[in-house]
Formats: sequence, C-alpha cells, structure tokens
Amino acid sequence: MADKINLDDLKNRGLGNDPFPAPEGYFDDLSQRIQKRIAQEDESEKQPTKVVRLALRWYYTAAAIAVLGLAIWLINPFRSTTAPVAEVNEEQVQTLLADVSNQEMIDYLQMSAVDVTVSVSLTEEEQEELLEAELETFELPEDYYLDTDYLLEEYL
Amino acid sequence: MVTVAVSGTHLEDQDQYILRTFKEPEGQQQAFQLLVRTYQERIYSIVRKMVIDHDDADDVVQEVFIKVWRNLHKFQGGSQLYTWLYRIATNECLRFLEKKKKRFFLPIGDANQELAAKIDQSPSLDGDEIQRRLQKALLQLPDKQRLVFNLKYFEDLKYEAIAEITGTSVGSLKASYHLAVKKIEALLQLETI
Repeated sequence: MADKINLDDLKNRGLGNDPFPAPEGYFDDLSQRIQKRIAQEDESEKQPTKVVRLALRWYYTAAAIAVLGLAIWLINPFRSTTAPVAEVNEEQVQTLLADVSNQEMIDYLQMSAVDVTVSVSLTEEEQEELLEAELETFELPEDYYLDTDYLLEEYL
Repeated sequence: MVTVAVSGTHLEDQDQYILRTFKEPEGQQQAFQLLVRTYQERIYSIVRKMVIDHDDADDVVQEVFIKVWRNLHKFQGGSQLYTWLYRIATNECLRFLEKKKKRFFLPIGDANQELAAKIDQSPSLDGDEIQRRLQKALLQLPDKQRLVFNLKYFEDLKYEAIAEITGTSVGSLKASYHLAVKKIEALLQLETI
C-alpha cells in the first residue's frame, strides 16, 4: 500500500520550492519595459480621435450593409407585382438612397439598436477592440473615480 | 521555498523612502524603479503560480506595476506597501483568469485543461513528477482557494498577512487552507493507487 501523502512532509523534502522560476535575465530589464509601456499608454491616450475613428469605421460598415440590404429589398425581382414597391425601378432606388447621408444611416442604426457586432460579423478580437474604443470615449463623471478605487479597495 | 521578509526594518525603511521620494515629481522615476526592483520577484512568483504560463505572467506582472505607478500617489499607508502590492497582484491574477475563461467561452473544466497542458509543457517541472502532479491537482481548486494555498504553502505568508491581502478573516483562511490541503492530499493519494 502506498505511503499516505502528507503535504507538510513533502514540503520539508523540497516540494515547497518555487515550481516556476523566471527565465534567466527576465528581471534585468523588467523595470525599463514597464516604463516603456507606461509611456506608450500615455502617448495613445493623447490621441482620442483615433479611437473615435475606429468606432465610426464599424458604423460606416454597418451602414453600408444596411444600404445594400435596403437596395436589395427595394429592387427584389421576386416581389409580388401587386405590391406598389415592386414598381420602383433601380434608378429610383439609387436616387432615394443617395438622399440618405452616412450620418443619417448611422443615427438610424443607433436608434434601432442594431447590434453592430452581429451586422458586420466581427471577430471576438474586433468586438473587444470596439468595446474598448466605446469605453474610452465614454467620459465618467468626476466623482465616479473617487468611489471606484477598486484597485485599492476590492477584496477577494 | 520562497520566503518573504516583509516585516524587516530594512524593508519598511525602504518602503518609506520609496513613498517619500515618489511624492516629489523629480523623484518618481527613481522611486518607481526601486519599488519594481524590490518587489518584482515576489510579484512574479505569486502571479506565475496562478496563471502558469510565463508570457501570461509577464503580462499580468507588467499590468500590476503599471497600476501601481498610476495609483501610488493615492496610497495612504493604511496597510503595508507589500500588502497593497500583493492585493493588486492577486486581484489582477483573478481578473486575468476570469477574462480568459470568458474570452474563449470555455467552461471551467476546459480552461483548467489548458492550464494543465501548460504545466505539462513547463521545462522547470521536467523530472519533478510530484510537483507536476501537485500543480495539476491545485487546478481542481477554485481560483481563490488555490490563491490562498499558494500564499500559505509556497510564499509562506502568515494567515494575518493573507487576511490583509485578501480581505478574508483568519478563521476563514485557516478553514480554506485546511480543506485545500485535504483535497490535494486525497487527489495525490488517488494517483498513487
């Protein structure tokens, strides 16, 4: 029968040694790498317009898809001839769509609560990028930060 | 075994020096570098045991120190500096593990299988069969219980220190650790049959 395992005994025989030592030289320049990353984050925070453009890019894509969908719906050759919409020809559709600005299309999508991520089939990474972009452009009230020292106060 | 002399006079003096120097604009960089050099190995040790993979540990460690940089001016000395650092580190570990599970939409079992695979691939555990089995058995514990186990068993922290870090009572910690030990011993025993 195997000996009963006792973690304290095993610890005295070396099991308590660090099982995952850091690679050699890892700590030599860790401080510099951290400060470099801080500098990069500070630099990117100074350019908020890039973040806004990233978010808008997806709305423009969704707007284009919505326009395409609308066009297909309007000129659907299989639509019943009794429906008045079937009488609208392609030229008229193009004219109608040309009157709809990009901003109006974006506003429509936002009001309709269209899920951009579903419409444009974003990957998970792109979804996170979009979410981060939206969060970064969202400004919290000043006193929010006083109440959310989660880094300091959040307990396990 | 990783030991932490966190209550030594020298370390407390150094912590006071860091905090004092950091308050001066021209001393911030120097104070921060000293803080990183002082605590980098201990923070890495805690983080690596939780996230297993070195590259992940590197990411988390950097995040920890970046948060320290951005918030050290708010530290008011209500606790020891190391307690505050460890608290950030442990929180970041748990957030990382939670985020990883959600990102890949993995059930907990699958996420642990990924960590178990990393344990098998870890060169430092080559030839150390019992340690490898211990690390894989630890993955069966909830993350918070695994954290408490690591802080007690490997980092050798006193219950009072762990209580400050985790915001849990000493009694709860003792119970948690005791149960963790029993569970791990049973798992390891099962494998020897």
